[in-house]
Amino acid sequence: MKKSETLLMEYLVFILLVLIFIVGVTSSVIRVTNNTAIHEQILAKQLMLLTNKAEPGMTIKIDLTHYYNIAAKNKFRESVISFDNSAKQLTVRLIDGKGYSANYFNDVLIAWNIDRDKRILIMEIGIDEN
Amino acid sequence: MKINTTIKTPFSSIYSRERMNKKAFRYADIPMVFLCFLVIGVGIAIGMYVFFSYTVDVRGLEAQILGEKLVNGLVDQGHLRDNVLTNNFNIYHEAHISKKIIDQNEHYFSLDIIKNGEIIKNIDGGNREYKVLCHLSGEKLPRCFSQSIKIDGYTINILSASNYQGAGV
Repeated sequence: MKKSETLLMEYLVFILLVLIFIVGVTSSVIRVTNNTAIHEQILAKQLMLLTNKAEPGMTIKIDLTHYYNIAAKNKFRESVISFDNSAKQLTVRLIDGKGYSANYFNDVLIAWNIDRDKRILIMEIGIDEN
Repeated sequence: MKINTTIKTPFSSIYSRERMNKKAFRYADIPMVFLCFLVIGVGIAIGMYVFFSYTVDVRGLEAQILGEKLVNGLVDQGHLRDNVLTNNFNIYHEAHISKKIIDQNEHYFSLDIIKNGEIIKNIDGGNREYKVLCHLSGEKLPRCFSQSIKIDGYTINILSASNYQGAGV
């Protein structure tokens, strides 16, 4: 291999390393600065307080348009909210990842559904017989 | 007499004159490049953590809701429930509170039922350390809510506390 070719190869490797680093740092900065994590936490804690305060027989409707817009920006197409009645835990996800979970102490059974067209969460609170 | 004053350090080879004069990148420099990336990356990560690590603190509100649920569990239509003073009274059942979550030790409640200045019944649950910690102040300490109700000749002192920060990401 000629000396000039070796030099070119070495430059290419260096430029490639720098590019990988810049792309990695930029993507993580964008991910953190778009505040998705804080929005996940806010929604999870609002729902946690609401669920704790809820009484059996209530029907609660929450407009999720703002959070669906954030999920759409993050190209996240799965369910934004999920409830686990046995673990008394709700999880909010607005981006690929584990999301933010919160436990509620209210011993109720939650039947929930999301109207995807109107972007409304409908929660029906029932008595947990277990 | 010529004295050699060159001191050899781990970076001597990196900063040697031959190397400084060489303009091209060398494969041998890759560890140094990674070290630079690591230092810059750690700096950016620390900066982002400082500026963007928010925690939404709702512990005070949670303690208040827990206290209100306890009152609902004790009182029915403006009167103390008939079974409150019996041995088989279950506050978790009456107030619709999950014992499983309370027993995770991030919540606490205590009820003192007082008649003629004497505590005739005490019910508590959760992390009992919070009873003491509620009298102290600090960012990491639980948020507490206390109230006192008078009903049917009884005074009921209720203390509820929460230090639940969320299950996290």
